[in-house]
Order: sequence, then C-alpha cells, then structure tokens
Amino acid sequence: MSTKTAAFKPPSRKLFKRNEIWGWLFAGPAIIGFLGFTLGPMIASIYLSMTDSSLGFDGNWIGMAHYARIFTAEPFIWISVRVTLTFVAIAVPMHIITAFFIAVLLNTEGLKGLKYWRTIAYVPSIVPGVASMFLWRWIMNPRGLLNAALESVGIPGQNWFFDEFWVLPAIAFMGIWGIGGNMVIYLAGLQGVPRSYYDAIEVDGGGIFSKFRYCTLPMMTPVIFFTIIMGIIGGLQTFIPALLVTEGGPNNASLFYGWHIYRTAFINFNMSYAAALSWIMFLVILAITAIVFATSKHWVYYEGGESK
Amino acid sequence: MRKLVTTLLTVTMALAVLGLAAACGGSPAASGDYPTLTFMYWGGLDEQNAVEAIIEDFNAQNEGRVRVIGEHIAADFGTVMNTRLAAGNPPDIAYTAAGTFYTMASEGHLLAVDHLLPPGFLDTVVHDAIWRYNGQVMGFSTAQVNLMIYYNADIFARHGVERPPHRFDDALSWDQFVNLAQRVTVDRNGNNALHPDFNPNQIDTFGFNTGPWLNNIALFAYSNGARMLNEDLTNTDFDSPEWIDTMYKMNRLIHHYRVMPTPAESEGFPENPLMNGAFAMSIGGRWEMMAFAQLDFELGCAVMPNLGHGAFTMSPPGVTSIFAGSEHPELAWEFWEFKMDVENGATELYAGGLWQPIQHDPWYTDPAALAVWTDNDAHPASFRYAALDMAMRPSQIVPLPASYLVRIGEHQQYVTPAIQEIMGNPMTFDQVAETMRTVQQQITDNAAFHGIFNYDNVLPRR
Amino acid sequence: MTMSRTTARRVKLTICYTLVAILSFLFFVPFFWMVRSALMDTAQLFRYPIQIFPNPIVWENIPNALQSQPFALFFRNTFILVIANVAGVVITSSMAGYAFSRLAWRGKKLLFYALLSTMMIPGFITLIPTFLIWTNLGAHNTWIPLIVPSWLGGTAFSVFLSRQFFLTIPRELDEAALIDGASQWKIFWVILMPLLRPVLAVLAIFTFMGTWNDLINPLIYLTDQRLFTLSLALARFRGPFATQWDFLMAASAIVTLPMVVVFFVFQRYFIEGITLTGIKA
Repeated sequence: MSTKTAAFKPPSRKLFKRNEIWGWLFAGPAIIGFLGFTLGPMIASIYLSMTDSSLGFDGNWIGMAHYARIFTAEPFIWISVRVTLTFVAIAVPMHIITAFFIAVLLNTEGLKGLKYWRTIAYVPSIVPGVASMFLWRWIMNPRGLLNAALESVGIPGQNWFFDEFWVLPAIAFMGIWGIGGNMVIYLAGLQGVPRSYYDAIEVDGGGIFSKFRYCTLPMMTPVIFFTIIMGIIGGLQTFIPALLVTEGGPNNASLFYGWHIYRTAFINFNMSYAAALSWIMFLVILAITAIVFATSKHWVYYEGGESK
Repeated sequence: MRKLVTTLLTVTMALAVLGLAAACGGSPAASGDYPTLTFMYWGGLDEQNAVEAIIEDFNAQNEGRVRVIGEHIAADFGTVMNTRLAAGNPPDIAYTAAGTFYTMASEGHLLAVDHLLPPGFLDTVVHDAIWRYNGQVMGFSTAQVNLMIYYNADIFARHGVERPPHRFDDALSWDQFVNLAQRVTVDRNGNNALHPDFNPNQIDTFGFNTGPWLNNIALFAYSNGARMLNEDLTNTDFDSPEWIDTMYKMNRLIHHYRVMPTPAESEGFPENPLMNGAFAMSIGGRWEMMAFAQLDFELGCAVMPNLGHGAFTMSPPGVTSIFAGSEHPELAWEFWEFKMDVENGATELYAGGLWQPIQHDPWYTDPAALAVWTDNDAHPASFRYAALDMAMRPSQIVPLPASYLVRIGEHQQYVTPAIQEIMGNPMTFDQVAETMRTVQQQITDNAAFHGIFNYDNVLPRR
Repeated sequence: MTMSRTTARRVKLTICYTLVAILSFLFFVPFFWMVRSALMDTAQLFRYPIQIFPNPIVWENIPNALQSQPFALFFRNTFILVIANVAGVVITSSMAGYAFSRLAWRGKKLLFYALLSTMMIPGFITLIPTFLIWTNLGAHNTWIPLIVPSWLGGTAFSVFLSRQFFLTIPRELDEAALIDGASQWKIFWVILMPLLRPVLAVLAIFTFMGTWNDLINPLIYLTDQRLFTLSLALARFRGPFATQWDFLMAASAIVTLPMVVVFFVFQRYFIEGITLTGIKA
C-alpha cells in the first residue's frame, strides 16, 4: 500500500472541496494582508504618483509629469542618488567583509569560549536603532570618545557626522556595530562546510590561507551572495541616520534618497511626488539586484551543481 | 500543554483587545454635561508646566461650566496638526506654527475672531502680533518675542571688556561689533582673538554664536540693507549684493576672525552653553529667558549691531488661533483672554521670562504695569530697551519669513545646505557669491513646483 | 625553517585569541560608554581631557531621566503592542504556513511566490499609500495600524519561516489523523502546533524585537504622546533632551536593557531563527 502518493489524491470530490476551503481559510489572513498591505498599496501608489495630491487621493490626474520632473528638473535627484550609491558602495563591502572575517574568526577550532565571543558580537545588533544612533552620535561628537581616542595616538579628530567628507563613512562605520545578524548567517553557513574538504587541503600541504581561499570562501559564496543582495536592498533605502542625526546635511552630504522621500512625504506632505520618487527607487533596486544576480554566475559556486 | 497554549493565547488576545480599546483615538472622553475644549500647544518642560498651571486655574475658576484639556505635543507639531486636520479632528484652540498659519487659514481651518474681540482691543496690541487673513483677524502671537543679543555679563567682566549696548541709538557698527567679539573670544591659554599668540584651533570661549538659522542671519542682513523678497515680492533676493555681503561677513566671523564656531564645533557644546562659557554672546529669543533665570550667571540683553540700516529684531512667535471646527468659540476666546492676562494666573510665565505680553498698552508703556512682570531677577534692566523698545519700532522688525513663505519646509531644503556650506568652510568672497547665486537659481527654478510663492491671500512683507 | 605542527597551531591560536580579544573589546566599548555616560552629570561629561569613569556615580540620572518624560507609560504602551503583535504573528503566520505547505488549493504556488517577492519591495512604496489609507479610515493616531498587519499574516518572512518548518514535519501524522476523521482545524491546532514550538519561539522573539525597536511606524502614525512607544519617545526627545546627553544616554540604556535581557534568556532561538530561513533556498 503506497501511502505517500495516495494521501494527496483526495478520495472524494467532497473532501477535495473541503481541502480547498481549508487552504483558503488558513491562508486567509495572510492573503488579506497581502492584498491590503502590499498589492493594494502598490496599485494605489502608482495611481497616486500620477496625481498632484498632497495629503490624500484627491488630486488631479497629471500623468507622468512627476516622473518627467524627476528626470529633468528635480534639483536633489542627482545629489541623493550619488550620496546613496556612495554610501552603499562604502557600507556594504565594509559590513560584509567585517562580518565575514569575524564569523571565520569565531569559527576557529580550538578557541575556547566561542559562545561568549559570539554573544558579544551579536548583542549590539539588537539594540534599538534610536538608542544606537544617539549613542554613536555621542561617541562621535567632536568632543567625544572617538576623537579623544584618536588624538591620544596622535591622529587628529574629525567632525564625523558634521563634516561633509566624513559623514557617510561615519554612518557606515557606525553600522559595523550592528553586523551581528550577518555574522550569525555566515556562522551557520560555515558549519555546513564539510570537514573533509579542509583535511584534503591539509594533506596537499596547504595552510590557513589556502584553506580559506580554496575552501571556505568558495563554499560560502551562496551565503555571501544572499547577504550582498539584502545589504544592497537595505542600504539603498537608508534614511534613519538622516532623520535622527544629520537631516541630510551638512550641505546635503548625507541626503539619502530615502531621506528625500521621507521629507517630501511626511514633512512637506507632497505624497504624490514622494510616491513617484519611491517607484524610481524600486526600479533602481531592481536593476542593481538584476546586475548582481547576473554577475553571480561567475563567482557564486553551488555545491550541488548549478542552482536555478 | 494544549491548555497552557490556549490559555496563553486567550490572555494575549484579551490584552491586545484591551490595549486597542485603551488606545483607540487620542481624544479623551467628553464630560457630557458641559463643554470641553482642547488646547494643543508645544514647548519645553517649563512651558508645559506653566501652561498646565494656567489651564488648571482656568478650570478651577470655571468649574462645571467649561473644561479645558491641554495637549502638549513634544515635537513635530506641524505634522501632528496637519494629520489631525486631515482626519477631521481639529482642536478648539491651539498654537499654530507661523509657517502653517496661512495654509490653514486659506484652507478654512481657522476662525475669524473679530466679532469676539472687545472694542479697542486691537489698538492695545503690538502691531506685529496681529495675524490677519483676508482682512480678518485669525490669530494673535502667543507672546511677543524679540530676538536680540543675550550675553553672559560675567564673562565680559572677567576680561575687563565693556558690555554691548542695549539702546537702539548706541548700537555698534560692524567693525565695533567684530572688535568686541574678538575681545571676548578666548583660547585655552587665555589669549583673546586680538592677541598675537591666539590659537584658533583651541578656542575655549567663542565671542558670538548665531547658529545656521536663517532668521538670525536675517537680522544682520536687514541691517545690511538686504531684504528677504525682491521688489515685486515674487521671489527671494538671495543673490543681491547685500545678501552676499552679509553671508560673506558670517563666513569671515567664523573662519577669519574666529569669533563664531562652525556648525560642527557647536555640536560639541555642553548644555547651557551661554552659562558655561561656550560663547559670550548669542542671538536668542524670549523662550530662553525662563531657563536663563534659573541658571547661575548674570544675563545681559543687547541690541543687534547696526550694519548701516539700524539695528533689527524679529519676532518669531508661535501664533494662537481658534479653529473653525470648534463648537464653542466664545468659550475658547475666554480661555484665550485668560491666558493673555498677565495678572491672571499667568504671572509666573510672564515674570518668569517665558512670555512677553502682546499688548503694549499697558504692559510696556505704563510703568506700574511694566514693573509687574519685569521687576524681577529674570529681567535685566537692559531688557527694557533691547526688547521692548525695539518692539515699538515697526520699521526695525524683520517680517518673519515663515509668515509669508507658505512652503517654508521646501524653501529650507535649498537654503539650509547653502548656509551650512558657507558657515562650515572658509570661502572667498567670490565663492560665497557663487553659492548664493546657485541657491537663488534653485529657488527660482523650483518655486513653482513647490508653490513657495503662492501667497493665496497672504500679504508678503518686505 | 619549519615549525612543528603544534607550535604552528599554538601561534595560530594566540593570534586568534588576540584578535578575538580586540574584537570583543571594540564591540563592548560602546555599551560601556552608554552606561558610563548615563551615570555622569553634564559637568563630568564635558570635562576635558575626557574622564573615563564616572566619579561620583550619579545614580539619580536614571530616575530623573525616566521621570522627565512618562516612561512608565511608554513601557506599558510598547509592551501592549509587543504582546498584541506576537500573538497575531504567531497565530496567522503559522496558519498561513500550514496552508502553503500541507494543503492543496488552487493558487497556492502563485500566491506564495507573490508573498515572497514582497520582501524585495522598498518599504516606501507601500508605506505612503498605507499611511494615506489608514488616515482616511480615521486610524491615524491610534495603535490600529501598528497591530492589524500582524494579525493578517505578519510578514513574508514569518510566513516563509513557518512554511519551511512545516515541510520538515512528516505527513504521516496528518494522514493518521485524517483517517481517524479529524478536521483540518483540529489537525492544525492539536497535532501540529505543539510540534512547532521551536519556530513559534523564533517568530515570537523576532516579533518582540521588531516591535520593540520599530521606529518608522509609530513615527508616522502616532502624534499623541500618550500613545508613544519607547523608540518613538526616545527619538522625539528634542525638547528637554536636546543637548542633555546624560539623560539621553540614561534613557537609551533603559530602552536597550530589555532587549539585551531577552537575548540572554532566549539565546538559542536567535541563532535558530536565522538558520531556519534556509538561505540557500
């Protein structure tokens, strides 16, 4: 008697219909949520972006006028794109490389107390963003801890968040504290690398660096790929540091695209224009993600052969 | 196990429902019998306590007849107000930020109160404090404010420097002002800015601080002959020679004379910077006096320097208005009158330094009335001239930009970065000019889209 | 020159320990700084050169900071929201996960992929219209926009997690129960849910954290201070706390503390949760 296949063929039409109903019932809340909070708003957003309304759906239809303005006359578009892309280019590699090296370090055999070290590295990532932002603002205050530490070894302090050049690196640097999540993902991935591979390299006479370069790194590329994608998507939407600390300054040096959207929508109340801006952001995210996916063929190695 | 899970889930759901019920809607229940008024306002802790005290007094005096409920909004007042109006839930009476007054008036949210005013009332009010829309009075400044120079007299005494003048006629010229600031700008070794060994990188006390605020800089600009709007009031005038000269002067104060901090440097200031000697003089408004009064230093008030067109002041108050959606405008006006009366429960607020009455008659002009609220520690003698005297000179009051630039938020998007750039970096005159021209061009190009100069029925002032 | 294997190993371990020690120190310092700043008054805070340890320790900062704004209220508010959200996510996500994994119904695959794809959409796209919709429904300045989404499937992440986990449970249990005549509902509640404890714990923890730390939603929906959450209250301290770093650090420490405690108590669920996502999928 084959139970495996028989179980999925509904014995009667009545039972089939019941299954259908149950399926919809159980998934019901999620479906309603999807329609009401994702699909619905997306459609509304497209419509909204083609009106001139400010705080409602009551504007006049203007078609693609907002989009035309974004590409031709919007004075902050190129600054914010540049700021955002620069930030992602600095922050994502910084965070991924740091998280990866920390994970590899904390995966070393023979180290005692790994559980505690991992905890210390992970806890900062659960600190509420507001608290962490204020804390770092205080630490990087021109008269704060970081400058004092630097000056004690002879490096001149900087104005960090209030310096046109340093504000983006400072925000990226602040984010290193919160890479615990990525670190844990890498740790999980590292556990999945078979010991036998490392042994094989040892037999061939390889040392630490060979093991890393020919085994660890390639085997981890799928995981790294995932975190790069998520890091880029998240990084392109950054705006909270602007909201809480810099307000886009100084002199627009931290004018994140996301911050421009937020202030257009919730400070200046031009919701339709903000909706148009966010669709452009969506397209850019899609494009960059597609590019990264396309390059992945060349550098991501899948253990079980090519994955689709 | 099953039972435990079920119980836990039931409890959590019950709590969730309770939480929802407790939280739904922000408006407290009406008392049923007599009308309840909501009064929305902002302010720091002192103001909150003082306002709550006034409300309590009023409620006590009107027990059973009307009740006022104060809603203190800690931040983002404009956002709160906007969304409340959008939701159709206006307060009865509230502060309205100057920048939003005309928008709200033009959209019909505010009530014209001419018919509620006692006869002759308007004549007693400082002209600048009356807010009209379409010819009708729709608001009064919550309190008069007059921006002026506050200084720490102890610092001046310590360095043997004479105090800045408080009389309009004695206002300093630009060079005299710079020189004065230099003599109270001191580095960590005790050398002032005129000393040959002065170290500009190790400044302990700055002579002056204004911060990157357009309103403050406008005081210098107007005195220098610049105006916010051009002659036909259709655009701002930032590329005029007077504005460029003013901004260049600001840049020089910071980067050449080193009497002012860069915005970055001011981030490192401790709390209560005037008392703690972070700087000796600053531009300030009324709202700080109450805090100053509680601190341990001798406060002095001085007029702004005269760059050629006389010393200027500005009154950036909040406005108080009654809302069209209110069901009890007469009662709201009663509360308003109560709040404005210096002798009626609000004395601490006025005497304490937080508010300045908007009625010059009698509170500025009658010596006895004047003494009621100025004859105390919070008000130095110099205050009488630096603030009150200036309040009576309408030609020397800079019209508040927020009162006619309806979309001030978008306007700031262009102006603030330019100010930050000019104040943050040493620049030549040409570079400053270039920056100002760029800003002006941006405003010109984008004003139509944002509607910055859509005055509706607002009268822009120059 | 060749080192013996054990010496090489010892060198490697020494280097590693050194690195780990430096790392831990660097990660720990900000916490220390937050607590240390919270326990100093402003005179000490701005002393130059910097004073590292508070001396004297100003314990009063903590009660003073907590009393200058109604923190007890904010705690209560946040806690209520957390419980409401956790209950919602746990129930509706597992229901959806069950449907997507066990039951056969038309549109299942399409809807599942649609749901997953929502993870790629920038938040702003849905945030703005959702805000407008809630405002027009009159739910502005209530907790409704902050609670209802959790009861409608939670997030795509939670549905995904739940479904993946369901797939690991053998179907024989269902079949046995079906043969015995049990209804789908009973199968779900009675038989499967108890097995789901690990993933439910993970969902609960992550929802707890998400709600506790959430800033953007309270920021745009709540204007009445009586409804504020801890995150929002901290962010809006631009009044009395504007330059009062001692109070600000004290308040930040208090807002952080529960998260740290939760982490230590429920450590293994954090790790489990992330690994359960099956990143290679």
